[in-house]
Amino acid sequence: MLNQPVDVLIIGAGASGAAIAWSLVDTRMHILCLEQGDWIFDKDFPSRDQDYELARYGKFSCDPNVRGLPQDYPINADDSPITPVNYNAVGGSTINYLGHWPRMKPSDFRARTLDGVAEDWPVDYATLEPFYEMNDRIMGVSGLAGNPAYPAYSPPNPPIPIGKLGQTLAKGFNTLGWHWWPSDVAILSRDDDGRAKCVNAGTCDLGCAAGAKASVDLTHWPMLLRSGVELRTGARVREILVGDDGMATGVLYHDRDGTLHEQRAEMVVVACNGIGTPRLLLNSKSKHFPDGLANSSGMVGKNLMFHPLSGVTGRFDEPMEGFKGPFACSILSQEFYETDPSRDFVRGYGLHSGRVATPVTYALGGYGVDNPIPWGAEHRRRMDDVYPYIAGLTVVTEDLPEEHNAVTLDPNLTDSDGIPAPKITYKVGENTLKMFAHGEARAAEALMAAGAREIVADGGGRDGKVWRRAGWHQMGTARMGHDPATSVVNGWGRCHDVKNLFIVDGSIFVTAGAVNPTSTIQALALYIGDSIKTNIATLFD
Amino acid sequence: MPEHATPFWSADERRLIDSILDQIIPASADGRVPAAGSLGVADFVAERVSEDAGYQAVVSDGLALAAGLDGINTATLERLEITAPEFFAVLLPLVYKGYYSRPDTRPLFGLSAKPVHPDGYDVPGEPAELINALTAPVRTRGNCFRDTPDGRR
Repeated sequence: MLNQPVDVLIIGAGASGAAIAWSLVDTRMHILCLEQGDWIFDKDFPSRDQDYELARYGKFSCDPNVRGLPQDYPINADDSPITPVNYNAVGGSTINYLGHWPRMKPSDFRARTLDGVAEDWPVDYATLEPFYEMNDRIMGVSGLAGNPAYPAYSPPNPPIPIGKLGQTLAKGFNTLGWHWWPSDVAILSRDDDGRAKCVNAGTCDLGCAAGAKASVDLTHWPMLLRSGVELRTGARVREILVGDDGMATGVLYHDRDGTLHEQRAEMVVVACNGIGTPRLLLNSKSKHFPDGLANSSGMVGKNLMFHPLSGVTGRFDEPMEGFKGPFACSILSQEFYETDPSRDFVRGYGLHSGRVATPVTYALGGYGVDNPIPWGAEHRRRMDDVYPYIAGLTVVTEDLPEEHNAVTLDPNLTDSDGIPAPKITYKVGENTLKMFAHGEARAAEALMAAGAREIVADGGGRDGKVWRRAGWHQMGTARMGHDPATSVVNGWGRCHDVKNLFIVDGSIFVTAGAVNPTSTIQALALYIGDSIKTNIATLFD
Repeated sequence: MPEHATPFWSADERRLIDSILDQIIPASADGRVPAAGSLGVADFVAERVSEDAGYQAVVSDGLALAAGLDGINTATLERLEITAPEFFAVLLPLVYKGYYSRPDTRPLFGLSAKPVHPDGYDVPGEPAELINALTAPVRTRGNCFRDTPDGRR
């Protein structure tokens, strides 16, 4: 079936697709977004159910291989210690992300110049700063101004409570003279723009039934639809089509019944995240692009970066009430974020204080981990004498780009429409293992300084035992750059090889930083949208 | 302890699984926290096992081995865990999920019995004076990010 051509076709209605639609909506171009998932409403979120926690291990798992919903595609992660996680719906992974919202830093964009590793980005912090600020207002970010780990900026809403756990850990960091700051979060600390403030349910990963967490189905799509943007759900793109002139002409997509449609467009924007985007490009082979679309550099799918994680946990004398409050965000220490030549690794890591130790999660070994605690008398001791009193720090490391860490197409595995699924080949790098050794020791030090009686879990990242279901942040697989021989898109997201094809998601990251990427993904998408408008007269030259 | 057969297990099997579950999550010494078998967690386990043929085979084999033990206690189950680790690999996550996801067990660990939405939990925001006092040492140390060579932040 052939549909009426549109001016702009966006593939994916998640964080980046919504952000670029937001930027382009004032052009009055005909914008169509195709989303393989559907709308999901607050009444469908499991946090209203009696056995809400079970959903975390089934229908609302962050792992699409566990969820196995019709709109999901399988991911072969057998050759990776980390498995990618996501959500497929209007809102994409902002439905089940945790809303932690740190920005990248000026040095993150200059790793080659400053530290001699990876590559510099073709954009810098100063260029993105106004887009970070604009995006923080759109999302309703909460935080505390004055963080000395960044150039000055002011979140639009006051910080969320850091709670007993955050206050306790903050005192430990202060004792050591180390940096910490209340986390920036895309979670409302006060009612704003028709959304209610956070109720501290601690189930951010199960969808926020309060609407306090900024998912783009709430923050963007209602306005976009009112402004004339068309959103077609249950539409899974099979292939991006290319004409004889090598320009993109549109896509082939399956509707929810499996019927194949052709949708033509003047411009195609890919917003499918760091796994879905290379998968789509590699599935879009043609006589012009026999190795996959926009892949003359061979970099499509290469340089996959996650943020490998491990956790260190201390037992305190008083209950820490870790289940109260937003799941992942209380305070963040960036004391060891920047390169220090005295260490045996380059770049750095953050120490994040998460909350979320509910009894089910704890008993099963922790979030994203399948390692149940012992049974019997030791079980009783852990649940009564340890669990209520624990607080932890997550070591969030910067992953460096390495070509052998890659997304390819699985030769056998397909989704329900028969489209080849992605296969992940990934190994935690030597630099990262050294970071873990340093970071886990520092995390233990901070917990003890905060008053922990003992360290009950000391990580394991230094031995490569990273959290399995921790592939939230998928970056680098279609990276930006000035040189078409070593990068897929230019400095404003346009593919070197196909001048009416843009990529706006985490796949265009050049480096990963050591922070949650969504604020940067959306700032980049807004910047790319702005660049498209600025260059509109010569857009495809 | 439930003495009845279930659609999934015979009465003997049910008594056996209940006794195993009582060892996996034992009651607290003061009786405040009940054991898993006496709480009826076997119903949850049965439901999940019945949905998965792989689980059924492993649990059936495990129960057959358990039936031949010299009673169900810590020592015998520790030996069984060595000879049939797959039985425990299937059983433990199911028991923990079934036990701790119940509205009657959550309050024993401080959580609300109710679903967390819409009420959530009361976490008062810190007064500005407290946050200012806590962050004062950090602010006093000054900026801790690197400038880039071109000075562009």
